[in-house]
Amino acid sequence: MGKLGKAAEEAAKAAKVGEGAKILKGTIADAIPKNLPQQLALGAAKEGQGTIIMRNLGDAPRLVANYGDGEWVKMQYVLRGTDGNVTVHYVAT
Amino acid sequence: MMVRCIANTGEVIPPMSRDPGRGVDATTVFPFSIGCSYAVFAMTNFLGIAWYYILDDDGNRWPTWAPSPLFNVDDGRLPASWQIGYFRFSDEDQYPILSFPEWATDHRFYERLVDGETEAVRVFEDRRREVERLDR
Repeated sequence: MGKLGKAAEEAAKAAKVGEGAKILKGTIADAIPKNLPQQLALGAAKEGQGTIIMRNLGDAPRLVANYGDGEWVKMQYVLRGTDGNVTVHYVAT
Repeated sequence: MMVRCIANTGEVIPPMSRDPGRGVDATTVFPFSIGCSYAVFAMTNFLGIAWYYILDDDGNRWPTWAPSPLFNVDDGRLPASWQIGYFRFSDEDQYPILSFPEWATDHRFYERLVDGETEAVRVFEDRRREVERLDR
């Protein structure tokens, strides 16, 4: 499944739970899981279980500057649950 | 444009169009229901095949792309406003987008939509209604 290097792990950008939650933005840092589903979803993302959803990111220069050259893409992993999904977005090369 | 899901795993994707490093291989499960119909909001090319942008079963408010081999075309009509754009970043990184003008002319539109930027969300909701009106 999806490839995810250490740099990309550090660059895990966003997590949200269900409808109404907002994607976290800001400096490049791991999202902090607030509950077990989020923790599981972030763990799966770090294992590279997501799929690519976007190429040519607007903040690619920042990613290159911080983590090195490469074709940076946005990946998505969705943990599907009975009480709602947890969607994790992260960047990887 | 309406498509109907006929498969929801990567098994139906031609082998040359799979890329395990991008999460696209024979075992990949896509969040679509076999037999269900979905509106298409954009189309592009990736790994040598067409990909449709569709609101999938995960309930996200932005469309997610899906490989076209997973679908049959039920209704191939496109809104009159749609146009084709072509984004050229390098020799190895270039692709077309067929969609409404705001997306087809701006490669950042989708990123803003996924990030929930107000204007991008508003545009998408307007254009979504335009696509869905064709289905009536």
